[in-house]
Amino acid sequence: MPSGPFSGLTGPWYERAAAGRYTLLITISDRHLNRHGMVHGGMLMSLADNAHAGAAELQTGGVMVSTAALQCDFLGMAGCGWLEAVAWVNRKTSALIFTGAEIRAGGELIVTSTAICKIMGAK
Amino acid sequence: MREAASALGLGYRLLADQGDPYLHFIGPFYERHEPDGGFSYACEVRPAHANMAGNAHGGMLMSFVDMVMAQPAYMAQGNDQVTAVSTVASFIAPVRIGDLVECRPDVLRKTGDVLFVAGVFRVADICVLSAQSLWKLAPGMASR
Repeated sequence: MPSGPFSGLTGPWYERAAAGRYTLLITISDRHLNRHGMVHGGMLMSLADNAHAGAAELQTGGVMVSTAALQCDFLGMAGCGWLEAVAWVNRKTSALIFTGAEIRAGGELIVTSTAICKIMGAK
Repeated sequence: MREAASALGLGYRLLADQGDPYLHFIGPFYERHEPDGGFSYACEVRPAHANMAGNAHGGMLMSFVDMVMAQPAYMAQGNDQVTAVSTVASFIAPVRIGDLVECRPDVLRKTGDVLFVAGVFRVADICVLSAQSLWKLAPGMASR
């Protein structure tokens, strides 16, 4: 579960994990929006970042990871309401985990993302 | 060795409210007009910005990145009718609570409807993050 001060500020978050896929949900409200009344790009990237970490940590036995690289492509927009991020692991090495993620709003794909996560403490 | 620096002490002023509720919610952020006409931006990383490890949350940094990269896009376009299409970032070094993160973003290229923006983010003289963003004239927004 995303925790720590910044995730506490931006959440609450809801998660589930099944068959190696990590799902993270958040309700978008007014405080998450940009000037155009859409979810702010920074908030979408916060959701993506948390989802990548959640998927990676499914495979580390709870050892924390830190994001080394993140790419987000913005295919669409969303306003207030539920957002669902699904993330998965593409490859795990001794120190790095390569992950993918998608964010949907009402079933519509709005963000595709990849990340490289570093396993904290790994050499 | 990183020394605590304050944005106001380095000549920054509070970023003018541009009407984004999210940035007001997670900020404040700062801007500084450079003598040669450019702009720099800064974020003082506060305890509320931390992740579980006690560093700045990656999403918090990406939120600052998004704000910073938007500014030259707005200026190049002459209005705020632009939307981010893609952003990529490398997290080069951890950012700690109390750090002042600064960036002076650049427009690498502007075509008819696409802008390429790049930024190197530093804490003192340490490069902590680099980012590139692709911006596009927002469809359906021009008439608002």
